[in-house]
Amino acid sequence: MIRHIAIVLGVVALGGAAWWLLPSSTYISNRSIESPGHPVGALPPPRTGASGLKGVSNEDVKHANLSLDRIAGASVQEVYDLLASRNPEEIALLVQQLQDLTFGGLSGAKIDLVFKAWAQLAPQDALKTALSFRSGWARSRALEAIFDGTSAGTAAFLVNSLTLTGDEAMSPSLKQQLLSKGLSKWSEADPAAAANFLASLPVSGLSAETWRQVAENWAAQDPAAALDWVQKQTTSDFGRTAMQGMISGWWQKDPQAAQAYSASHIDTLAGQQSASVLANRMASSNPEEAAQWATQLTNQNARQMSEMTVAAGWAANDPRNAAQWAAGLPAADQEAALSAVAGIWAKSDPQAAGEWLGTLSGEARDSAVASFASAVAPVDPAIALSWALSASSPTIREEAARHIANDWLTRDPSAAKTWIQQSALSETDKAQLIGPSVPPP
Amino acid sequence: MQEKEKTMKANLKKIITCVCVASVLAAASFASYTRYDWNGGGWSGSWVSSGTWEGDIYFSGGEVVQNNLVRMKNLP
Repeated sequence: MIRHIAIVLGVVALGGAAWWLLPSSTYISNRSIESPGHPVGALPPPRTGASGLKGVSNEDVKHANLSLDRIAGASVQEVYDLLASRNPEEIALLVQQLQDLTFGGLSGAKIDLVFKAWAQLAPQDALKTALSFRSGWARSRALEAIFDGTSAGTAAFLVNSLTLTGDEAMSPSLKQQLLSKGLSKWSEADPAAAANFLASLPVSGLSAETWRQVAENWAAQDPAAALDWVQKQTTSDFGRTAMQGMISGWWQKDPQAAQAYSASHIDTLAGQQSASVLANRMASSNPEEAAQWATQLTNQNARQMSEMTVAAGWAANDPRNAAQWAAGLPAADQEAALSAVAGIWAKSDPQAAGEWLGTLSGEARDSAVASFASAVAPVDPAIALSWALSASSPTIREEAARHIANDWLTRDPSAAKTWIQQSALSETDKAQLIGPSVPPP
Repeated sequence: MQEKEKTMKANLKKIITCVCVASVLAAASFASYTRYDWNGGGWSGSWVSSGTWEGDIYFSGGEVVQNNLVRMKNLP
């Protein structure tokens, strides 16, 4: 049922998108019938005119607008080729039109394309122009496109420029997001410099995800240097996350050495968490080997955590075999692994996952059921609530049902209340989920 | 009359665009970046715990993005 709904929604979205984009696509497909003197997207030679821009006429503006219309259906490479064929004044004219666009999906798509392409061609000009945009939404969109489109080699320039930019140009959250993207790209080209820059920023400045990516990129190139850097990050709250990224990158470079290092450090919390990340990476390429590696870990925390992440990684590609393996683990290790499988499988194939849940029993089933219900709840809260209420453990049943009901009551109070009131639940359970009914005056 | 038709078509486009965006967002939520909490009997995100772990773990599909799980105290 859920799958059918998703398919229908997808078809509607694709159909609508195709209809919306049809005019732009037509422009592109008409490229071959354009007059040779005016290829698609080409701007006329610069002239002096009354447009307000130096060397630009009203006719130029008219042609520039035409180019913008055609850009909407082009690829980044096509726009790059267009920009590369024009001089800076012509590019400025084209980009000038972007900031006057009205807010909307098509306008945003045009800004994305132009600034992604321009960031590859002339990142300095692109950044300067984006920051000069009057419209806040267009400025934000252009900045995001620049950081998305830039190469690893120019990311350092962008990151350094951004740190010198005043706070009035963008929100703190956007600045952090851009810095995070830029640092991740920078670390692909020069991880040592990116890592040291990251460590020099205020501790609360960037997300843990940035630390993980920088450490991962560095370790994929030079594990010893990355390990040394990670071990020095003791003052940062993100040191453990950086360690997880480091072990992941190290494994890409030298799997045997990474596994040996991880196995020798599983007595610490950071080592246990890192081992689980390593096991998860192994599971993506060889789940059987990852499963064997995880189950032989002698440290209980490391073993159960790793079995859980192996199950998750395995279930993403092959849920049936992942489920079979998790169900065969010792009873004490099943809960986390089965829950992982249930949560991942429920999102890819809820029908099959639900049938598999019927084969489980006991405490492990309860955790898996709650995980399944939680994963299904955003799509079908009624089904999710039914599953949650089937758990035999009162604690799990009540907690799962309460959270699903609270979320549903927030999103669609009328439907949620109707379902709960018409359900076979006891009056006590109903009152717990939607609150006590108020007696009539 | 032509102007009216143009306006109607523009409005129709806007409506269809809104529906499309909503549909895409709904479909995208199937594969969204997910945070799983294990917090001692309670939960938020997509998994529930019977009380073994506390903290959270972040997944993108089946890949662990970040693991902050800690085994709960007073457990064997």
